[in-house]
Amino acid sequence: MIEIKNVSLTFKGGALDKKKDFTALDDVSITVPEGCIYGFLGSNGAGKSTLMRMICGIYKTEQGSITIDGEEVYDNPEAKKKIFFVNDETVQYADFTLEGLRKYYRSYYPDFSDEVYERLTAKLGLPTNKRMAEFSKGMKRQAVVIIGLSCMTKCLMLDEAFDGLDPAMRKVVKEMIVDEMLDRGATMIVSSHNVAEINELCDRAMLIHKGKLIFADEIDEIRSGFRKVQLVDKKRVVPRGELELMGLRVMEYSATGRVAQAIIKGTETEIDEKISSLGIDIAETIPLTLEEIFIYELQARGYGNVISEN
Amino acid sequence: MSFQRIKNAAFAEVRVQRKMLLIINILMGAGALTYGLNGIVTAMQDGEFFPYGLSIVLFLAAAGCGYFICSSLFSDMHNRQQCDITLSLPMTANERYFSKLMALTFIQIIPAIFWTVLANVMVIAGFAGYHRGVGNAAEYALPLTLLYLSVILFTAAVSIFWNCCCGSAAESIYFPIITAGIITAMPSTMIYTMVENYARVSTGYINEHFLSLWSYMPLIMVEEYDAKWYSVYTFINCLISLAVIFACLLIYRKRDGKTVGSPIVFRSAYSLMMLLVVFTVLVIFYMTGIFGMGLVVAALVYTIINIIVSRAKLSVKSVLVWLLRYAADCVCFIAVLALGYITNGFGYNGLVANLKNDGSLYIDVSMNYNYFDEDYGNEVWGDYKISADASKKDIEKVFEIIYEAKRPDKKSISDFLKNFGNVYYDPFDEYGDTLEIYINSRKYEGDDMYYSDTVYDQTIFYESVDDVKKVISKLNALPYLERQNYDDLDEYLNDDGYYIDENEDYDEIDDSEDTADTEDTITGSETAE
Repeated sequence: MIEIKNVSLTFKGGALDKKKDFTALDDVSITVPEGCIYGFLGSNGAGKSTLMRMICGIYKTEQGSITIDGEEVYDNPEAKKKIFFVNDETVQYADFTLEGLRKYYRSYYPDFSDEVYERLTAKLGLPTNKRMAEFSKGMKRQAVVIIGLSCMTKCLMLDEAFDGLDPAMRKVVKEMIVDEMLDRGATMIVSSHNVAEINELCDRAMLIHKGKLIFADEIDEIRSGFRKVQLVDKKRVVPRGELELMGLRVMEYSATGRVAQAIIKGTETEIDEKISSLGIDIAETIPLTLEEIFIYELQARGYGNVISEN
Repeated sequence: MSFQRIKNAAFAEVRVQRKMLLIINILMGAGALTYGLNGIVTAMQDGEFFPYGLSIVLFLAAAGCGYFICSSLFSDMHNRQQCDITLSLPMTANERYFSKLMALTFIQIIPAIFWTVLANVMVIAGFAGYHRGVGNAAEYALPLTLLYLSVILFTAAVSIFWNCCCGSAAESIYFPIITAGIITAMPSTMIYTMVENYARVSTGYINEHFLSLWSYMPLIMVEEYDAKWYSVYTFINCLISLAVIFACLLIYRKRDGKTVGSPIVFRSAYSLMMLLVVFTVLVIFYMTGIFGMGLVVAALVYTIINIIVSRAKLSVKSVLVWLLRYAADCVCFIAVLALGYITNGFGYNGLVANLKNDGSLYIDVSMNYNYFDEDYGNEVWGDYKISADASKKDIEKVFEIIYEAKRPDKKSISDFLKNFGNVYYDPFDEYGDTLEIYINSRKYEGDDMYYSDTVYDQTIFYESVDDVKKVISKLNALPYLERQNYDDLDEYLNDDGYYIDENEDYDEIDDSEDTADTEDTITGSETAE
C-alpha cells in the first residue's frame, strides 16, 4: 500500500535565474491500496508527474510523508525495489537495444523475470538487438513497458505512457499491462489526460489541480457524487439561486426555454429528495461520465475559462 | 550500503559507456605502443631515453576524455530523463555515487595503470634486451604512471565537483575546464605577482613544492622536476584529488531531481568560480603590464559566462547587475594585491628555515648598480661556500645580517596605488643599488663543472654602497662562510662604487666574468654584460 500524507512540494527559483518559488503540491493526501489500478488526473502542470516522482523517490519529500508498505521511499532501496517508473519520454533509451535494456535493469532488480521478458517480447514481436532509436514511438513504449513488467515490482507507475499512441497501439499496450498486473495482483498508477481511458482502465482515481487535491476515491464513488439534473416546468424556469438556497451545490447551470440544466455535486438520493420538493413537472437526474466531472470541476476553479472567453 | 548493488550498477554503467571505454583504450594503447617503440629505438641507437612526444599526447588525450566521461556518468544530475531512470532505481545516493566512481575506475583508471605499466615494461625490456641494463628508462617508470594518474584524478575531481553543483550538461563540461585552468594558473601567477614582484623573493620553491600539489602543474613542469621529488608530488596530487572526489559525495547526496535543469544549483560555488576567473584574467594581464586591457577582457569573459549560464531573457538590468558584481570582484582583486604589497608578499621570506645543508650550499651575492643615463643594470658578484657544519641557525644569521641594513620598505596604500597605475614601474628605477642573494646547491661534476640548482633568491634594496659594504664585511667575519670568487665585488666596493658624480669621469666598468656554468633562474633583477 502506498500512503501519501500531507505532502507539499515547492520548487525553488533557480540560483541565478529570475524564477520565483513554485508550489507544485499543496497538502496532498491519498492512499493507493494494494492491487488497485489508480488513475492520476489533472490539468497540465497540475502536479501529477511531480507526485509520481515523489512516490518513486526522485524528489525528496520536504513536507509530509510518502511510504510504501510503511517504509519511506526516498533514498530507500528496499522501498524502491517495489516500484518501476515509466516516464513520458523514451529518448534516454535511444542507444540501448531491448536486450541491452534487459541486462541493464536486471542488474538493479533482483526479481527480474527473463520468462516474462521473453514471453512479452515474443508476443509483441519486438526485435531485441536493434537500437531503440530505430524503433517507432509505439515500439519504444512497448519495449519500456515490457521491461517494467519483467522487473516484477509490486507497483508499476506509468506517467502519460499511452499519450501519443494510436488507438490500436494503446489497446495492445493496455491489454498487456492489465493482463500481467492482474495476474500477480500488483498495483498500477497511471497518469493521463485521457479521462475516458482512466475511466475504462482504473478502479480508483484522483483529480489534482494547481497542486491541490480535488477528489480521490473509487471511480464509482466519484461518479455517484455528481449528477446532471434536468428540470422542465410549464409555468416557470427554476433559477440557479433557488437550487442553491435548497442547499444544493450547483457547479454549472444553464436554461433554455423552459428547460433548466444543472450540474450538481451530491448523491442521487440527496438531490432527488431536494428537487422533489420543488414540484417541478419533469425532474431528471443523469449520472456524469468521469470526463464530464473532470471538466466541470476544473471549470469551477477557473481552468479553461480564458479559452472560453477567447 | 550494498557492495553487490554498487558492483552491479558499476558494470551496468560500464556497458553503457563501452564506446568511451573503447576510445580510451585505443588512445592509450597507441600511446603505449609509441612509448615502447621510442624506448626500443633509443636502446638500439645507444641513446638516452626521454619520455616525451606523441605517446604523452595520446595519454593526455585519453585523460582529457575524463571531462566527458564524468559528465556522462553523472548525467542524472543534469538530464531529466536520465534522472528519472537513475533516481528511481533501487539504490541509495551513496551506492549510486560509489558505483559511478567504480565505473570511472574501470573505464579510465585501470586502463591508465595497465597501459603505462605496459609501456614502461616495453622500454625497460628494450634496454635490457640491448644489454644496456635498464639505462635511464627505469627512472621514468613510476613518475610517468603517477603523472598520468594525477592528471586523470585531478580532471575527475573538478569534473565531479561541478557535475554535483550544476544541473545542466553544458556547465558540467565547461565549468570543470575553466576551474582546472584557474587552479593551475592562478595561484602561481598571484604568488609571482605578490611575492616575487612585491617582496623580490623568488617563488620557484613554492611553485615546485606546493602549487603543484593539486593542479596540472606536474604536467606543465614535467621537464623541470627533480626525479626524486616528482613521484612524491604527483602521488600527493593523486591523494588530494581522491579526497576531493570523496568529499563531493556530500554535495551529491544533497541533490535530488528537483534541481535538474537549473544551470547552477549552488550559487556560492558559481560566485567563487567567477571571482577566481576575474582574478586569473586580471593577474595575467597585470603581470604583462597591460592591466587596462585585462579589465576589458575580464569583463567580456564575465559577461559571456553569465549570458550562457542565465538562459534567461537578457535585459539592461541584468547586464548592469553583472557589471556591478564584476566591479566588486575587481575591487577584491586590487585589495588582495594591495595586501600582498603592504605585507611584502605576506611576510614570505623564502622559507629559509626549510633549507637543508647537505654540504653543497653556496651563497651568491650579486651587486647590481645603475649608471645614470643608462637603461640597463650592471652586476658584480661573488660567492661564499657554506660550510657543511653550518646549522640552520647559522644560515638564519646570514639573513639577519643581510636584512639589517636593507632599505626600509615604504609600503603604503598610496604607494601601492601610485605604482599600480604605472605599468612601467620598476623598483630598480627608484632604488638604484641592490644586492641579490642566491642560495644554490651545486653538485660538482669534475673540471670545475657543476650543476647548480637555485633554492633561494631574493633582491634586497639598500640605501647606499656603504650599507652593502657593512653587510659584506659582516658576512666575511662569519667563520662558516668561505669567500670565493670575490675579486670583482671587492674592487667595486673598495672604489665606493663606479659612479658617484655624473660630472666626473669614472673608470670603465670591469664587468664580472661569468665563470659558472649554472642553471640558476635569476629573477627580479636585471643583469647585463
